[in-house]
Amino acid sequence: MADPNTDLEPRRSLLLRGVLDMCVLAMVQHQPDHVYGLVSRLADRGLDRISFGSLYPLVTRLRQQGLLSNTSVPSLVGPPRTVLSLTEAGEVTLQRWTEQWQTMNSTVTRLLEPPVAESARFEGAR
Amino acid sequence: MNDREPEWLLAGWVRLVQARWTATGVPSRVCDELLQQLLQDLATARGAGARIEELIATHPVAFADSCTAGLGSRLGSISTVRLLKVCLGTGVLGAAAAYGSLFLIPFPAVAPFGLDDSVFFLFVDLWLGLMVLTAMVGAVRWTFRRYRETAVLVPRLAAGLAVATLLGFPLASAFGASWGYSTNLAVILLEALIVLAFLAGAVVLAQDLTYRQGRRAQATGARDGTV
Repeated sequence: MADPNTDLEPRRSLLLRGVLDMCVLAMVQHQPDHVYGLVSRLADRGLDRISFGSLYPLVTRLRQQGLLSNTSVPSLVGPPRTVLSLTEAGEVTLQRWTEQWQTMNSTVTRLLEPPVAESARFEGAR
Repeated sequence: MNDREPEWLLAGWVRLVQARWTATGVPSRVCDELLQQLLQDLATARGAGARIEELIATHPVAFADSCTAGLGSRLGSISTVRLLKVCLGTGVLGAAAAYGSLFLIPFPAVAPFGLDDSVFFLFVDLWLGLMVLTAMVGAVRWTFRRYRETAVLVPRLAAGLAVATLLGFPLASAFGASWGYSTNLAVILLEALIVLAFLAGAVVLAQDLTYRQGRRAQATGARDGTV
């Protein structure tokens, strides 16, 4: 069995699973892109272990849920390219997910910090 | 794009993905939509400079299953009416064949192993009943082999049909006995209807339990935020 203190990858993967759909919606909102473009941008931001094959099913699900849609954009070379863009439902969902994430993030951050009274007692014991 | 990269690798990978969708019962309309979208996205990715080994790094079966994992109701499900037709239809035909075989099999004049005649024929009936039930379950498994819930449905159906037979036959026999084992067509039809009602109940219950489990699994997947 992997040592939870040394092998952090499974935990990282679990954490990522919970937020990757939100990250994809946010990236598409900032700039409509195709799936491979999103993989490259995620890698640029440090999430280099997300492959085309692991992101594609997620994008398929978001498309089926009506949060992403295909948009045709002109290309400088060759035929117009199809990129993903955020639908109205996608914008609403992203807004709600972002608020939820921010609330969760601040709650967890507060939990990780020692309470003021305890830290004061700890300081006094030194 | 590297022109020297073997495009046939990508085409072969796509064929395996498509084969998996077909094998797991994804309706052809949904399968065609997914395939067209995948081909379009792969072409876009290649146009943007993606290498083939990057695109096919995920195992095709795992990829295909992940793509359809969140589709839920779009994947379609086994129709209850069709399930009843296949299961009970096979049962009626099997029972008729089993009844016919009683006249064709050259039974010994005296029951073997010193068994009482009634005990011997009880064993014969149980054996024939088991064959009919196996045929019913086998027919369902074969007919609905492309549906993903079949793997869960079949064992439940087998258990349910066995219980329904054990409950339904004594009740039908008791009904027949109350009419002095009359050969009146109406009495015989009612006996058959009692057994069929038990079997139909088992079929519907097995399917309902299968769907409940499927919905629970889907809800758990959604809560887990499965990618």
